Amino acid sequence: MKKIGIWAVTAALAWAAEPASAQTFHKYVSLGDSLAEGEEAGCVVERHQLHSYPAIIAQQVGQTDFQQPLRGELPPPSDGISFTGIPCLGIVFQGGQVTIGVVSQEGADLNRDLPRPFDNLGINGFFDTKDMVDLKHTDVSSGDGKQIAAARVLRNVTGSPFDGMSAIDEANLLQPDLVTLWIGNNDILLPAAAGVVIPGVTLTPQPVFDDAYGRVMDGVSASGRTVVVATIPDIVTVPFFTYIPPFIIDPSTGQPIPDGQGGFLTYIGERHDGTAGPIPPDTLVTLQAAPLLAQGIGIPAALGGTGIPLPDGNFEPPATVNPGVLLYADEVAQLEAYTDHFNATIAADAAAHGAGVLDVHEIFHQLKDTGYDVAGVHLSADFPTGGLFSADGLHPTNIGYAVLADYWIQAINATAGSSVPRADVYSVLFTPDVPQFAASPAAANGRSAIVVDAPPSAAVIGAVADPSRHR
Amino acid sequence: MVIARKFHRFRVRPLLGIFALLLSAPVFPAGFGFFEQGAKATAMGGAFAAVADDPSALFYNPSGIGFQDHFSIMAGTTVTTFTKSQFHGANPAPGEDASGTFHKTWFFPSQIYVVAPITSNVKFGLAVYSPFGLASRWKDAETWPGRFISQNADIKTFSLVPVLAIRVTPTFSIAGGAEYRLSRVALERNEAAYDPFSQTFVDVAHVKLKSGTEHGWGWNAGFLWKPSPSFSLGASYKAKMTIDYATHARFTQRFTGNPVFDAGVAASLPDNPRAEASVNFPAMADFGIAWHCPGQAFTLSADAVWTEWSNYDKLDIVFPDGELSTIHRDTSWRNVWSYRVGIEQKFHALAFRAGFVYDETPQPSREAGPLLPDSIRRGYCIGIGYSGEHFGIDLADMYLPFQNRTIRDSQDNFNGSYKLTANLIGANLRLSF
Repeated sequence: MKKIGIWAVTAALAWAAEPASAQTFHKYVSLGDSLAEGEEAGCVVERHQLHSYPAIIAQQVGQTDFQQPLRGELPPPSDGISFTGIPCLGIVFQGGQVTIGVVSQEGADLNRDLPRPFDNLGINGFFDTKDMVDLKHTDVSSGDGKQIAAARVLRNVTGSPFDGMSAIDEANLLQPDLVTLWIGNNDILLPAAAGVVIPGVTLTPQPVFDDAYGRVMDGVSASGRTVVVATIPDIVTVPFFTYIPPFIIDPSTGQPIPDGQGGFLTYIGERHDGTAGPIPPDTLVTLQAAPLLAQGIGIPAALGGTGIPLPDGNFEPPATVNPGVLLYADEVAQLEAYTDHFNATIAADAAAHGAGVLDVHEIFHQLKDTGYDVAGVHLSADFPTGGLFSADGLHPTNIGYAVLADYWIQAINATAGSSVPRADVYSVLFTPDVPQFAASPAAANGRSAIVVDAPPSAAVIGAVADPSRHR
Repeated sequence: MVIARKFHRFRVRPLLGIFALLLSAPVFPAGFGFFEQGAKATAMGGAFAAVADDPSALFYNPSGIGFQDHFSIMAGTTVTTFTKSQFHGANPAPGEDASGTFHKTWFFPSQIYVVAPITSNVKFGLAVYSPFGLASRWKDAETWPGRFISQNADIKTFSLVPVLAIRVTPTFSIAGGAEYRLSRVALERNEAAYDPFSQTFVDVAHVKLKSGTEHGWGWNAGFLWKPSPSFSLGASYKAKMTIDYATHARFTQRFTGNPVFDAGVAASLPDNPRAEASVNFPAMADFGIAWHCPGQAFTLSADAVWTEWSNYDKLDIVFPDGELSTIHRDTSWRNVWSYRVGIEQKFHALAFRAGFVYDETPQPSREAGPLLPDSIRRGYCIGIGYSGEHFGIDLADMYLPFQNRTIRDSQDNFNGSYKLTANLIGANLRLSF
């Protein structure tokens, strides 16, 4: 992949032409997906949204009236089943075990009546690049998660003054002089999380992405406006895809089981051709496999499992995607090739439009390889003990978002020649992030388990939310 | 079915943290080198290599004792303290609200010098002094934002230095000697770990690393040339030295109140692991020139002192019990100069002195931090001395403001501004027979 650098200097010449005074910003707008919205641990709630990287950037820019589509938070239902909102995950201790459990659920929208567009237009629900310019009307009655999520942020439903407006349109309505744009993640994550990598079905074809991203940049660029965009991370740097090793772990030792040939026994899984057998050691097993593994799926009967292979996922024409939990090496290679292509497109379009680039692809590799030190405290991408990734293994923690915000600010300053104060990534280290109501972890009835740790000695289980709602 | 990662993964981190302390330990000159080894020399800004006319010459230029014809004993101390030590944090860490000060501490590095003429041209000298030392101990250590880097760093050295000087001609003396240096180190900090239950970092342990007293050998040499009664040239050299430290790290758990998490931490803390490290002390060269007015009532001297900090380019930490692989770190310090000028005006038995020091810092900006917030320093010195026939006393004061240093590229991501000022009061007594 072409190295873009932590932030490109595509706007450096413009900066150099105006060295006399530092750029200041009067209106900041964020565009993006769930990562911009501030999703953590599988949900979007005010507790996390106030720590989103756009919120931090706005604070550092000095924009006091930065409006986000905040959402309240409720305790989980006492029966662990009757959720009224999307569950929020967390690390909990229950039944003598450390688990990923449900600690709360999404509540009501808190400021849906804002008479103008939100300043943070990040939208979860697998909102992708094409959606940013083409999703001008949403229909919540469809029950589609993307439509529901977009409607909450864009409010472009029938009868709304925003009907017919895309995220780009709403952003332009606010006339910002600073825009951050991080889109394209879901063009990769949708097929990756589903375990089904098929261009044109789950994976955005390269020409489609190139066209969509070009239209996004055309739409968001304007005279006198600083635009900074971000690249797409490599999936191998995200714990959701790497936390579960392909090897069968001996519960008594916590170590992989030798296969007698110098390697280790691997889980059994479906192959592309419909047969089943041990998966190659370079296969990625997604976090979605955890509930299945807890049931013995993917484990040979001889080792105490069910002998049922882990699902590979497939596509049934005309429009049915059956999610899987495996990414074979050819799929990983294809996803990485597409990621590289998309990132090259992002860099080229940014250069053509005078925008700066924050190379999150490179940053995530750095975080995975070396971590991030803050005043003697070491943060890492280790899950769930590193501090950077939340309980869903996909989205950052408040701490992780603060780190990202600081990178964004450096990219903004490098692009615009501004001197926006850098973000405080220290205080957030010591600010507890738990629901404000009394902790009452749901029993996660009917949900499958994942072992996250074994302190001090017990085998441990945990629950993950319904795999189908991961974004 | 266990898919687990072990909580124990954060066992490695505390050890790495411990040795970050050692790697940056303020053991060295310029940073914490100690050049104030005699009240007269201190009052003259340390510009003493071409003067070297009292027993403290054994530190500044041992060949100076070649011109000292009486059995002499000199003892003194340099009372040292930081009169100002302010840290103000900056983003991204530890944040603009962070601040700190040193714990108010007084230090008394002391010296004893003995000069014994063997013949009229051959002199023996013996010195005891502390060429490196001091400490950085931060106030409110349990809440100080830099507590995960350093709460306390205490470095002590003691050198025993025998010297033989020969006055080769009436105007030229040379000297050489050995240095036996004892040293020990104590370092303290807290350790943090991520509590996934509260999604916050918490203090989980206090780590103290205290070495035994270790030793190393070095050598020194110098010359002093007085081509005329009003002019002298001198130079001295102290060789670099390596001291090997052996130590244990002691972990004291800080309990968070979460029994599950605390149990995980308890199972993860190492059990006093052994570690070994070798520290390379730098070489130092002092070049001096002095002018004495006719009658010797007035003296003007100037020195340039070079310290070979590039010798401190790396440090390897070895775990003899094999708990961890060797840790290697590049430090990238650079060689530096300090420039010193001094004057002395005598009025019969009294002498009034003044001096100035400009001392470069060898420490790259990225290395500056709670362990050693070094900076360029300027020293303003005054002093007075009395010399009787067999008795003398010298007093000196050095006001030593450090240039304010703002760190934006800290390797520990601990950025901010340091404002330090030290004051050193030197006093010594001289007896000669």
